[in-house]
Amino acid sequence: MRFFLLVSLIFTTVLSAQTNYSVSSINDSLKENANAVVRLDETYVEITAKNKMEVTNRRVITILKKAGESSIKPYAFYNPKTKITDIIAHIYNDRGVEIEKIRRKDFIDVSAVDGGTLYGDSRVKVFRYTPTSYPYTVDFSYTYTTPNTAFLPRWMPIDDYMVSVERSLFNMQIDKSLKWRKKEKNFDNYAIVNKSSEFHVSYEMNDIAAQKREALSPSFYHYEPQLMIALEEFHLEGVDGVAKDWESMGNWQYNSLLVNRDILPEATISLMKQKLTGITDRVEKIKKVYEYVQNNTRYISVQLGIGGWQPISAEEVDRVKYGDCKGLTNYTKALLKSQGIESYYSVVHAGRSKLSMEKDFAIMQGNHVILNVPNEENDIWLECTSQKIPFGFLGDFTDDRDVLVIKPSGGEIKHTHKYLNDNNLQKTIGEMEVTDSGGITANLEMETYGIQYDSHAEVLSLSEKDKNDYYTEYWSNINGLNLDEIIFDHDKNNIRLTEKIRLSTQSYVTKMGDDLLFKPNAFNASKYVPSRYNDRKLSFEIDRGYTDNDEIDIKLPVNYKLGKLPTPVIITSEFGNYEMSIERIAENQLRYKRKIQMKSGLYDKSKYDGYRDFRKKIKKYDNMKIVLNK
Amino acid sequence: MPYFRVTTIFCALFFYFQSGISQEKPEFGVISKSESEFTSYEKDTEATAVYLYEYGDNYFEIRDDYIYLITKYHAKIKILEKEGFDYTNIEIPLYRSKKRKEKIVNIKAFTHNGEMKHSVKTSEFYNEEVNDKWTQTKFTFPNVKEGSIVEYEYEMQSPFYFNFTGWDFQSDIPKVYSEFNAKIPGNWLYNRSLKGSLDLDVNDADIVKGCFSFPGTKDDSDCESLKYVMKDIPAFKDSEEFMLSSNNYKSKLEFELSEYKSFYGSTDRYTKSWEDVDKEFKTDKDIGSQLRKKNFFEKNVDVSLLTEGDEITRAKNIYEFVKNHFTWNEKYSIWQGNKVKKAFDEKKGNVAEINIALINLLNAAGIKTNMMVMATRKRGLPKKTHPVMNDFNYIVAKVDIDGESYLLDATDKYMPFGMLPFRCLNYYGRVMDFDNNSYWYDIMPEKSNAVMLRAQMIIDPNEEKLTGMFDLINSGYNKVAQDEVLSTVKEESYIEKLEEEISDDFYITSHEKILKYSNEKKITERFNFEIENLIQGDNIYLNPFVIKFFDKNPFVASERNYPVDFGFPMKYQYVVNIKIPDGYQVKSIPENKNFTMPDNGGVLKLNVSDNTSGTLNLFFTFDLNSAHYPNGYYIGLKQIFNEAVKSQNQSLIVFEKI
Repeated sequence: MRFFLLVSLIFTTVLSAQTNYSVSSINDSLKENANAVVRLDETYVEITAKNKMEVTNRRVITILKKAGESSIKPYAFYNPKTKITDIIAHIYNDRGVEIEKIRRKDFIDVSAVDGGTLYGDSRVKVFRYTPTSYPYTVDFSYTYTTPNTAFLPRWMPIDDYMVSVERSLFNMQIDKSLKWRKKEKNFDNYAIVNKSSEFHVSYEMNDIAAQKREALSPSFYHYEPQLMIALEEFHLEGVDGVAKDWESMGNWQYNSLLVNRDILPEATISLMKQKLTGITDRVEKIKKVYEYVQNNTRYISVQLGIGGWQPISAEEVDRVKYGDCKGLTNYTKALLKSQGIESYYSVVHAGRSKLSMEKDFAIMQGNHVILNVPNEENDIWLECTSQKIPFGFLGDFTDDRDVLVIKPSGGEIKHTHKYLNDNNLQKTIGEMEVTDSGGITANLEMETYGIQYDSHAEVLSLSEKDKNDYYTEYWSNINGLNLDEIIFDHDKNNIRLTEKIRLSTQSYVTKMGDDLLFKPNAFNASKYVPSRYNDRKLSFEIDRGYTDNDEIDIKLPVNYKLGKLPTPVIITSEFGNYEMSIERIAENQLRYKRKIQMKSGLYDKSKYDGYRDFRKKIKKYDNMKIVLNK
Repeated sequence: MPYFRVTTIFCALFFYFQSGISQEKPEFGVISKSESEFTSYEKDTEATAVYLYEYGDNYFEIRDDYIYLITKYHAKIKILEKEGFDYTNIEIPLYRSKKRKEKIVNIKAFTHNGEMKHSVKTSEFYNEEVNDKWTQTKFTFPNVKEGSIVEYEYEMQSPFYFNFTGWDFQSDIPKVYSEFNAKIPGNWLYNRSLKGSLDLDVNDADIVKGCFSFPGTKDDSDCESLKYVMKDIPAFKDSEEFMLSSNNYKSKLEFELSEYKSFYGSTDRYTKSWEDVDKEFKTDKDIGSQLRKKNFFEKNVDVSLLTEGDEITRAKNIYEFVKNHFTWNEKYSIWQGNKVKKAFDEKKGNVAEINIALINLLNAAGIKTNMMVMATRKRGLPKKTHPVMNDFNYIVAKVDIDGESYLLDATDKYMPFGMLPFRCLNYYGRVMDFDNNSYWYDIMPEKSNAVMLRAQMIIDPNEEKLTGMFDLINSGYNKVAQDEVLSTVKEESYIEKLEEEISDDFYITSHEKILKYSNEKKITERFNFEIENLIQGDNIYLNPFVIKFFDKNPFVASERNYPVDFGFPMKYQYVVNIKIPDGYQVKSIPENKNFTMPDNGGVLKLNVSDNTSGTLNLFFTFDLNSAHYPNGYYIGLKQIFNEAVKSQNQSLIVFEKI
C-alpha cells in the first residue's frame, strides 16, 4: 500500500519588510520550550485567472539550538508547469547582521520523487547551511507561478512542537471574475485577526508560544487552526475543473479524470467471465476478481503531470500488469464493471493517523485511492495495491475515516470500516514448563484479529532467518530464547492469523538458595507507562483500542510448590479493564489468566494521571514474580 | 588484526593461447530450455529472484571523432517469488560533466512468461536527473509474475575513462553465471583487484594484436583482452550491527585508471605506485599546496598559541583551538576543492580543510606533523597492494612528540587529544611524509573504554526504603558519548529519563559531576538515590543492579555472516556494598560466576561475598578485550552477552527477618 503523491500543501512566507532579526528582540515568552522561533511566516497569493497563480512564501526563522534546525524548511518544490521565479536565502547572526547569502545557483536541485515511485516529474530546490554558532536566523523566500489552482495554499499559523511564532501572515488576492469559497477550521480559542475584504483575503496571528510534545496527544491536524480556500472554477495540469461541493467535485473528477478509462480488451473480459463461471454469490464474485488483481498485478508508480491525479487506463494496466493506487483501483473497478458489478473509485488520506476529508468543504485532498463496492448495508472496501491483504480488509492505513467516493452522478462522503477495541483481539493460549535447571519450554498459540492481525501478519513475508530474529526481538525480555518451531495458520477468509510457536530458554528462573523466583507472565508483560508531565497541556487519545486475552498453563518442576496463590486482580477504569489471576489446576500445575481491554477514545488532559496510574498498575501486575519453595 | 582478502589479479600482461572455458554468448531474447524450467535455486532456496545470466563487455571505440569507452550489458533474472518483484525495477546511473555525458545508445528489455514475450516500450524508459553530476535511466518490466524471466540489454558510451570501475560479481540475490569482459588498448592502464572471498572460475588474459586503430597513427595498438567468470555466486548478505563496511566483504572486481597515453604523445598518469603518489602530493595544487599555508596561519592566530609551553602543551592547545574554531559541515571531499584559508575565515569546513588547518598550525608551532590519508569504517579498508586514491576519504594529522605518536582529528568537538572519532576506527592509513616516503600506519583505538559503577546502599526497614549513592564513571569512548549527552540534554530531563528507565520506585535525589575524578578521558558523576517498595512480608528483595548496562543481548541471530567489530575494547564494571539491615539476615545471594571466552577474548565475573562487618559486597565485571571478533567467536560472544544480561536481570539478594 503506498501513497500516490505528496500533496505538498504549505510552504509559507513573503514580502513584509521586517527589519530587526536580532535575537535580543524576541519576547521571552516565545523562547520558552522553543528550539526555534518563526519571526515571520508570510504567504502572498495572487490569482489572476483560474489557471494563473503566483505564490510568494517568506519564512524568517531564528534557530535557537541544533534541535530547531529541522524547522528551517529550506526547500521549494516545482515541476514542469510550476516554475520557481525567485529564490533566495539570507543568514543573519544573533545580532541580526547578515553573514551569508544563498543565491539561486547555490541551491541543490534534485528529483523529489519518493522511494515508492519509479518515475515522477516533481523536483525540489534545497539549500543546506552549516551554522558556526547558535542562535542564528534564516530568511528564506521564493516565488513560484503555476497554472494549477485546484489546490491553493492553506494557512496553518501554528508551526510545530517546540517552535514558537512571532508573526504569521496570509494574504490572497483573487481576481474579481473568479468565485471562491473558504473555511475557517478550529479558529475558536485563537487570537486570529481577519482583515479580509471582498476580493482580498487577509489573516494574521501573532505571538504563538511553543508547545511541548506530549505522549498520546491527538494529531496536530485535529485542533490547529486552518484556513482553506477553494476556487469554484480551477485548473489542474491541463484539465479545467468546477466544484462547489463534494457532489460537483466528484462529478468533475469522474467526468474529467475517470470516464472511459475503464475499457478493457475483449480477451480480458472473457477471461474474467470464465473465472466467474459457476459462482452465483455476488460477494464471492467480487472476491474472485479482487484475488485476480492481487495475483496478477504489482505496485509501480509513475507520476507525470495530470498522472498525479488521473489513473493510467485499465487497458494499459491490463497490458503491463502494474500501476499505482489509482491505476490498480481503476483496473479493479473496470474488471468488476465488465462482470456487471458497480464499484466506485474513492480518494482517501492514508496513514496510521486517521485523517478525514473535510465533510462540509469540498477541496482537493487525499494521498491514496481505494475501491468502494456497494453491498447493501455493508459496503466492501478494497485496497488494490497490496498483493497480500485479505479481501475487504483495510488495516490501520485507511480505516475509520471519511473518504470521497466518486460516482458517475457525483461525489459522496462515506466512512470506512472501524476496527476498535474488541475487534483488535489477541488471544494467546499455551503451556509453559519450568525446568529443574531454571529454564522454560513453552508451546503457544497466538490468534490475532483486526489491527493486531494487521501488525502480526507482517511476519509472514519475512525470510526464515528474519522470522527467527523477529520473534527473538518480540520476546526480547526472554534472555537466550530459542525458537524450536514456528507454524502459521493464516485464515484470510476470517482475517485471522494463528502463530503456533514452540520455544525454550535455558535461563528464566532466578534461584534464591533453594527457592525459585519467576514471572508467570513470560509472553505478554507490558512495561509501557507513558511519560510523566507536571502540567500536561493537551488532551490524549487511545487511537484504536485492543483486547488481549492470555491463558497459560504452567507446569512447575517436581518437588517445588507455590506457597500462597496471589490474590486475583481486577482493575476497572474508564480507559479499560485489567484482570489477572493464578489458580492451581493440579498438584504442581498453575493456570495463569490475564485479560486487558483498552478502550479507544479521546480523553481530557485532566484524566492523564489516571491513565498513567492504570498503566503503572498493569505494569506492576504483569511483571509480578512468584516464589516456589522446595 | 582482521584478515581481509584483497588479491591483485594481474599487473603485467600474460599471453594465453586458449581461454579456459568457452561459453558462447547467448543471443538476446532467447531463453534456453533449462532457463525456462528453472523453478528454484537449490543452492539458496530462500532466494526470491536469481540472475540466470549476466554479461558485461567493455572496450574502446572512436565515434564522432572521440574515443569512447563502450560498455555492453546483458542480464536475465528469474523471478521466483513476489518478494522478488523489486528486482525488475532497474536503474542505470549515468555520469555527466559540464561538457560531456554518458549516454545509453541502445536498450532493449523483455519479460518472458513461458513462450510469451512482453516488451518495454521506448516511452517506458525514463531519464531522471538526479543531481548536476548524475542522471539515471529507470524502467520496470511489464507482466511480471512468479516464474517470469526478465531480460535486458543495453550499450552505454562514456567519455570518462576513469568511470571504468569494474564489475560487481556479488549482489543481494544469487547469480548462476556472471561474466566480465574487457578489451583494453595499451594506451590505457588500469590497476585492478578482486575483493571478497569468492574465487574466479575463469581467469583469462590475452593479447589481441592490432585491435585498436587511431586515425593518423601508423601502427594499430595491441589490446589486453580479459575474461573473468564466476559461477554460482551466493547472495550478498545484509549488513549487521557492529561490523566494518560490507564493502570489505563483497565480491567484486575493481578497476582504477592509472595511466592514459594519448595518441598525440602526451601521458596522463593517475596512480601507479606510492612513489608517484608521494611526488604528486608534493606538487599538487590542491592538498599539497593547502598544506603549505603556514604563513597564513601564523599571521591569523595569537603568537602565544604557537610558542608557549612545551611541545605537547602547544599541540594540545592548538588541537583545542582548531576544534573550537571550526564547525564541521559533515562533508569529507578530501581530493578536490579544498580552500583552507576560506574555511578558516568562515570558521567551517570539511574534514580536509579542518585537519589541514590543524596540520599547518602544528607545523607552524614547530611540531613534527604529517598528514595521514585514510578511509572511514563505512567506506571500507583501503587496498594495500597499490594506491587506489578512491579508497581514501578522510584526512587526519599524525603528530610525533618525544617518540610518541598521536592521531588527531579536529572535526569532533568532544574528542580528547589523541583519540579519533568512531567513524575513523578503520585499522590503518597512509602517512604522507613529504620529507621521506609515505608509509602505512596502524590506527590503535583507545584501550581503556569503560562504564563503571560504584555504589553503596543502606536499607531502612522501618522507613521501608533504600537510600544509596553511586558514582557513574565513563571513560574513553564512553566518556565522549556521555559528554555529548550531558552538554546537549537538560539535567532535569536527563534525570527524568534515567528514573523512568530504571523503575517506578526509583528516585534520584541529587546529581553532580565530580571534577576531582574527571579528566580528559574520564567523567565521574555522583548520584544519590532512593528506592521504595522493596519489602514483601518478611523478606526484602533487591536486585543490586539498579543501573543496567544493557537490558538485552544485542546478538540474537542464530548465526552471523560477518565478523563482529566494536571498534574498540570495552569494559563494564559494577561494584556495590550493601549494608545488611538491622534485624535481618541474608537469605540468599546470587551464585558466583566466572566465564572466559577463548583466547582471552572476553571475561565475565560475578562475585558476591558476605563480609564480617555486616555488609554484602558485589563485584561484577564484563570485559570485551578485543575490538574485533572473527565469525568463529560469534557463539561465544552471544553466550557471554547472555550471561551478562542474566547477571543484571536475574541477580537477586533476599534478606529475611530474624
